[in-house]
Amino acid sequence: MYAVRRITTLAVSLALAAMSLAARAEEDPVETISPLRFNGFGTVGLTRLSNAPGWGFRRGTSQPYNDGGTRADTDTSLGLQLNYTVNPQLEFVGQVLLRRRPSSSVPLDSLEWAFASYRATDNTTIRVGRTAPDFFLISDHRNVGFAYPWVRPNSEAYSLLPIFSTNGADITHHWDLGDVRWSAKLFAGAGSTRLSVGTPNDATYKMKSLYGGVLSREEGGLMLRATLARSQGGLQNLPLVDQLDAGLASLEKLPVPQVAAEATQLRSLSGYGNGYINYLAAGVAYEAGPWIINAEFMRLNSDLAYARTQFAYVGVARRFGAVSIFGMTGSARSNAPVPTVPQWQAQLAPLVGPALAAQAQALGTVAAYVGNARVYQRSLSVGARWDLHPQIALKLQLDHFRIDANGGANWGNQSKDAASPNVVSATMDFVF
Amino acid sequence: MKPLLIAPKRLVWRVAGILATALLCGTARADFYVVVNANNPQSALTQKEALALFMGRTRAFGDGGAALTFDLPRDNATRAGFYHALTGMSQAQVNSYWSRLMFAGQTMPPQALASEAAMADILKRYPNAIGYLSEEPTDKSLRTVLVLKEVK
Repeated sequence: MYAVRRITTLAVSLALAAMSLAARAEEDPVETISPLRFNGFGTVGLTRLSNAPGWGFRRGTSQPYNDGGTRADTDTSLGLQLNYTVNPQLEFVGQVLLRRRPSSSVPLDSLEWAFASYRATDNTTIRVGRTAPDFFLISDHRNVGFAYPWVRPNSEAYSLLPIFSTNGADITHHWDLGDVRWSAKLFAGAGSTRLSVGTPNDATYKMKSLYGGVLSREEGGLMLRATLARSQGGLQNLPLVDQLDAGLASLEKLPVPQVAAEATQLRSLSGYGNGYINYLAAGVAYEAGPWIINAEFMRLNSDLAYARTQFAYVGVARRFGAVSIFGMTGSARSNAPVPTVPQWQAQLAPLVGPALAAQAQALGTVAAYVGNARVYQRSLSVGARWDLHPQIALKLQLDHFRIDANGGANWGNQSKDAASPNVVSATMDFVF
Repeated sequence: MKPLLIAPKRLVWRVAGILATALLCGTARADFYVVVNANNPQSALTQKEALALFMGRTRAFGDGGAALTFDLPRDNATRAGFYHALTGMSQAQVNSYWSRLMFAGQTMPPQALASEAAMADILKRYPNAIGYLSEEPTDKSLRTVLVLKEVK
């Protein structure tokens, strides 16, 4: 709790200092056009988890495990951004995001953006450097709570995927056909992020390559969007998983067809190593008058069982003056079967002796347990947002989750049992 | 029963006066003037063109010339009225819109100037600048290219 208090105090102090600086700058008469612009955003929030003792609610897998209860570090964060405009075509952008991260994180992990943007024409922009992959509807502004009605992006869709900044380049081109604006974006990059997966050491998700494209169509307040992308990478720094994989690989070579086949299947279902992921996403965003509607469907195909998933959600918000009320529902389902515990001891004992057979059985049992992290989760959320100032919004959100057996991979310290956790969140989002 | 402090006839007139004032205030509409430098070749803008410029959809005038768009501070009352007239959005909605774009590294909002006086000063000095004022400029070095009626 001490660390949480420190983070909250730091975030609030920095936010107040930055808002005061911004206000002072606006009081001074501006006589020249400044090439340097400083802006920021942040959230101060509290979450309370109930009905799932010991489980820890997380906004994403890059947040450390926690033991639930009332917490300030789920949503609290502060983002600071500096833009330097060299000329109308060339601009440099840097953004840091301060929030609770895994203990093995280094300061550079807080650097969300660091890129040069070159506007080749009024309709074409090229960016080179560190950017966020544009997988989904709100993946590039997922940390900016002020930008959307709900407290956080839908948990099913946005908390399991390790969406993080990558180093690379992208090119975006817009064109107008009557009242319709089309936009096409191509991106490529690579990067890595630290993840808390419940092991003594944080794992590293290393994305060796990522490339893809986004096509969007906007007309009035309606945006339709489709994404296709492919990445290559996997989890590293998981010694136990590596040992299990090596053990299963040796069992695959045994001259016992059933054991070898089961070892192969178990290896494919429990592997976290290098593999590809294909991303397919379609999204709709509608914002007109008092209504905001977001809906997305995403499907991930992969040779890694844990990554084979599909997500969908719908969020609807209705504004009444300065107050908005909203509801959201989402679902996430793994498309790979949960590995079953093999029965090898009796088969192997006559061949390799009881001691080695027991070791093989233990290996299979642990591998099946480690490899059964899946996502079978649904949620229903309701809440309200009050814009009490043009730059400050207060939000209250109630989430009810339904998690099937083995389906709580998004959560910290989860058991393999089914659960129905509730989360109450209260936040203050601001921009300056 | 407490005695009335004002004579009934005077009270009727006072209430009528208050109602008339309220009615007048309710129907009065302030205008917002989208203004450019007098040397800018742009003689008029449509509301759609102004919306594209002020909402970051383009950085060029209709004739292809680069546009330098300026704004007022994010909590400024004139700004709130201007964007409501231009887009129908509240101040918080406009700020939310911009936070989506600027913090996603897509595009920056027009640079905010401290006051309308600073806005007029900049518009006089930069031929490709565009901004807005709550009063029609009388200065010969400025030109109004669009008038927006305040939306209640």
